[in-house]
Amino acid sequence: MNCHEIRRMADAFVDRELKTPENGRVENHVRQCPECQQWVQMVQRARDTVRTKVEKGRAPDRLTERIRGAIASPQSAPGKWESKS
Amino acid sequence: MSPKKRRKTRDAEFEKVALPHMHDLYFAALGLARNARDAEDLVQEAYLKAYRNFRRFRAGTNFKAWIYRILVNTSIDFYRRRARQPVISELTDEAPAPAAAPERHRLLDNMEALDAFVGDDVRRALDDLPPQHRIVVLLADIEGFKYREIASILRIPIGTVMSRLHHARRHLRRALWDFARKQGYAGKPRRGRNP
Repeated sequence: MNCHEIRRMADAFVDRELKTPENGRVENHVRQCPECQQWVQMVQRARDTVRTKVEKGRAPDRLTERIRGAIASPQSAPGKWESKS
Repeated sequence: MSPKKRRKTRDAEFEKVALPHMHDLYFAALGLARNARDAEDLVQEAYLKAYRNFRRFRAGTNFKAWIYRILVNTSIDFYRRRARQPVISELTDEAPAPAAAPERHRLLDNMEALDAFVGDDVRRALDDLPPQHRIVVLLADIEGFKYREIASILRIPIGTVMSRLHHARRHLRRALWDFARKQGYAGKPRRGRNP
């Protein structure tokens, strides 16, 4: 595996989404290649920045009522699953 | 049990399972619609579809992934119906990969710049991504879905999730880096050049 391939797989690597053999190959390479090691760290830090800094906030309170209203309306036609029971 | 009572029970069951996801879905919808009014409409419509199809949902499987898939499909239909510009109509298509440019000597050498970001900075950078990229970052990094779940939500192969996320994060890092420089978080722009 060359550095280019490692960098392409860095995201899946930091997300722990690679299959075991691939993961092992990336791990081995990264252990021996300072540049790729730094690259992986950067990918991880940037990812964690997104994960930790973005706050989701809340939906407006009225949305719950809108949803309940839509579901309760005759047009919501839950008959399909009522007939299954 | 009378049909009326049965419906009431089912409604309560649906609400119990579905409503706790409303805030997360709204946030995702904001990422898809990019304005609050459309986001509310999208979430409401997604809930209505989920309610109508609730019997198809298999208990014990991942409800959150199921309702997100409904939200994504709803957003595609929503904009198709409105014949509006393609905010997300190509959500499931391939996004153009950002032009290749070396990242070395930029964020790589200035990783501490990331610490200076506040949530709104990151959110802005996220909003500037093409929709196909924004949605995968949103699903993976904000919502914490696994790749196989994202594949199922967007109905794309897992390999596509992987490559799209790779391109999306690269795009995002570049945007963050540019923003960091503009804000003075990192590597002050050289005087007299490209102000």
